[in-house]
Amino acid sequence: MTAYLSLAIKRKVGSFALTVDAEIGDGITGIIGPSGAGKTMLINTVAGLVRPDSGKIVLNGKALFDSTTKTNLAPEKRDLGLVFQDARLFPHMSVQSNLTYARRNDRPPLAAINEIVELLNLSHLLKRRPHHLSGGEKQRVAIGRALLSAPVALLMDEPLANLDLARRREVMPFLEMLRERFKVPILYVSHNLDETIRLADRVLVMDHGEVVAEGAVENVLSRIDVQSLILGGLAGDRHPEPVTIVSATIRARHDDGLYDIDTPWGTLTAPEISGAPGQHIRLRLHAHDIVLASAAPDGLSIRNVIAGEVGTMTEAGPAQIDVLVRPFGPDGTPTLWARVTRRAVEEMNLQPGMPIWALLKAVVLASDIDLDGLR
Amino acid sequence: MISDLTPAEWIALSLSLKVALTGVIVSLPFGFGIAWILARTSFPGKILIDGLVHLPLVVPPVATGYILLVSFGTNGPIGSWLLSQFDIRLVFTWQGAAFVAAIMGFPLMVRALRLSIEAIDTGLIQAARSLGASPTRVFVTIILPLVSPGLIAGCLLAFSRALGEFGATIAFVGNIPGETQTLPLALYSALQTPGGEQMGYRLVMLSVILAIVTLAASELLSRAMHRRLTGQTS
Repeated sequence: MTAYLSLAIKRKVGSFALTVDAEIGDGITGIIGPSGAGKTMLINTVAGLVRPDSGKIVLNGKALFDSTTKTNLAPEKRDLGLVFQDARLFPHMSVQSNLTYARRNDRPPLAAINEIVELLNLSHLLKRRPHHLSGGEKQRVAIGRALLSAPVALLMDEPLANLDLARRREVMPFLEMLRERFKVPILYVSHNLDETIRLADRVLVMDHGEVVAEGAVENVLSRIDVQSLILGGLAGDRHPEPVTIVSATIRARHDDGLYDIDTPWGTLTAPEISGAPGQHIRLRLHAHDIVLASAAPDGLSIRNVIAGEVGTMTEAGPAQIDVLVRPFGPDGTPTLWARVTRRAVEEMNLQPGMPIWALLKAVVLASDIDLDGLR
Repeated sequence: MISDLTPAEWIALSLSLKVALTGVIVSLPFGFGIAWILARTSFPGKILIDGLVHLPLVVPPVATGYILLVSFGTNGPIGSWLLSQFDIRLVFTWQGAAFVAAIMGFPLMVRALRLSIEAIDTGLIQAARSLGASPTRVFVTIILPLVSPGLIAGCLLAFSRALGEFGATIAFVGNIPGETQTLPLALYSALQTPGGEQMGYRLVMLSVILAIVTLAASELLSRAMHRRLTGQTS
């Protein structure tokens, strides 16, 4: 991993302390955490809108901030593109003037303006004022405006958070397009698991101003402690349902409409997914969509069976238990969570180490995940 | 109407416009600076500056004029220094009248500008800078257009205040026809002169017309500005 951005910063505001040491590489890095975790402050520090007390920020070999040499580049000299939660389009300018506002400072453009206008589907909006745009349109203009500054990296601070579900669905494909079309590294701040699962390659989890977990999305966001940190505060849900995230490849499509999907647990089949053979995808498995069997099942309608052993068991309220399944396979084979009733655990006499068969009722692709907040 | 003006009325009118306009232009940069400080910074003693700026609004104008006369007169501490260092004499000159106009209109200008500056979303400034704009470019392309309604309102308020200014002017620069005798002062003189009612009446009409024109201009400008800023009519 080439580190595009290396951070070692400290900042204290009242009783809140931001302390981040991180190396951020290519692709999309999600920064996720509950509100008040310091995600926005981190982004603003990188952007130069907030000055850290001490430390160092290096972007692509160029020091943006270094307290030892008293370097603190002005925001306009940092070569970064910012997309804010509230779009922040200039109200007195047309969409066209907003798009062309940026100065590239001799950097080559990422793409011609016509192409960016085309990709973000903005051509019919160019003459309009921001006042006359929907929330989704505003965000698309803001993304285009940032891209046209030819940034070395893009910082996006909850670009979907102010949008309703329909608008989020509208903007998401454009964000996914960014990843495919432009190789520019992106720091993507969000408090929404679904968004992060769909977009990010790697993820930093923040809480109370510190990075509490980091790594590949599949590994980090499948952790139950990370999930309860992010979902735990929502609507008083004390036992958020665990979700397993795993990367996979579409192998083939059958004539009957079923797809074969290669996963670390072997080949699974799934109907009606969007994607072509060879495509890398990310699967999301809800714990309540997984059935456990203590013997190899036979004569069932369920196609997908994963053999393994029982791992840890966690209480999920008075009547339910979350069971971790460790599928057989080489070291590093991803585990998965199943939510079953306490009565089932007692009747099957589940114990850690016991052989177990996990039956998958449904498989959801990350690209089809709805952005409703993973409820 | 304009062609009917007597030379004396014409002189008073053009002097009034010259004094008010100069006053506004002189006070604008300072007004902007003070308004920016009051709107965007916080420091101990800010309330003192706020109070000082508003003094001309609450102190009787004659008292303000007298204070100016004492400090900016040729024997006053500032006035004598200005005279010896720069050969500038404010007292009993039209420049002095413009200075009074600037002082008296200052609180109104600062108030309008301050509201307008406070209303600018700092996020827009941050966005502009993230797009590579230097502070100067941000000022010209973002801040100025966005404060322009307040700028226009402030200038017109200060201009109107200057046109009507009487007490401080007469106390500081006197009532010299052709030099410091603006419309209100000419009106005062006319009413003091036996048989001057006719001229007084005409000067009153002139003042009213001037006020209406200023108001209409202010209204039209602010509407145009609103359209430009939001793309909406209302």
